[in-house]
Amino acid sequence: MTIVSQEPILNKEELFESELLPHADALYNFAYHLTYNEEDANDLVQETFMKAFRFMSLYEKGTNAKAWLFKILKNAFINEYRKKAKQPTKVDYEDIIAYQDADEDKGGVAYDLREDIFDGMMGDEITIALNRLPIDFKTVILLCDIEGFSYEEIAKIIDIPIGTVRSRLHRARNMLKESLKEYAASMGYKKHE
Amino acid sequence: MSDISMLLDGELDRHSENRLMDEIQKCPTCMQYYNNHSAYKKNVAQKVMRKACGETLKDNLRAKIRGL
Repeated sequence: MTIVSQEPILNKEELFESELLPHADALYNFAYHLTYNEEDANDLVQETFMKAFRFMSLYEKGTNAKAWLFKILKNAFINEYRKKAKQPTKVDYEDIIAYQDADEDKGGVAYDLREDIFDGMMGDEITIALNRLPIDFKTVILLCDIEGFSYEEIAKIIDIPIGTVRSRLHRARNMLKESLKEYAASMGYKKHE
Repeated sequence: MSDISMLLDGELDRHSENRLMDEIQKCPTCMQYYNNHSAYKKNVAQKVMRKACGETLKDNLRAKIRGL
């Protein structure tokens, strides 16, 4: 007996609505943290969805739509915003990243921060510290710790090897913890090594 | 310590998770790092500001694709 699939065949617009649009808020959040500007974030999200819609034929229903959209958005950001040199740290961090990624998997020291210090922090403090990180470091934290992508998905989204995802994430978290530790110390928390 | 990060990121298989958890239980320094890094993960996930795009942008997108 032949089993006939009961799943309805969706047209392009229906697929867009059911598979892509549910990720709009997550994409906007990512775009906002990348640009730190609501208008730019809006433009980036619109461009991402329009591009995705144009290339819907390449999308297979049920596959990782969220990762696909994030990859499109990240590429759009690089192409259209980074080139405008809107990021004041642009000159320095490319060198830092090249140098620090070279440290990949050498078992660098993990920067630690006491859990009670974290638990006592407000969201604003963590958000500001995160947004101050160089863009490539901020990106891996957003993708892993905010959006919950796997290392493999992050590697595909930002076009770097998985080992580099690990090392960059390690560096990024150290930088964030260091920044928060300095902030905590300035606010009177006892230093703890 | 990078293994503990991988554990908390859900990047280890069940067998490796169990093995590492056994090691962490026997090592106070590892346990401290595990607790601190858990706090990092929890606080970043919960406290970093999240911005939503709202329905207007979604409606604009719907209108745009209908017009194509």
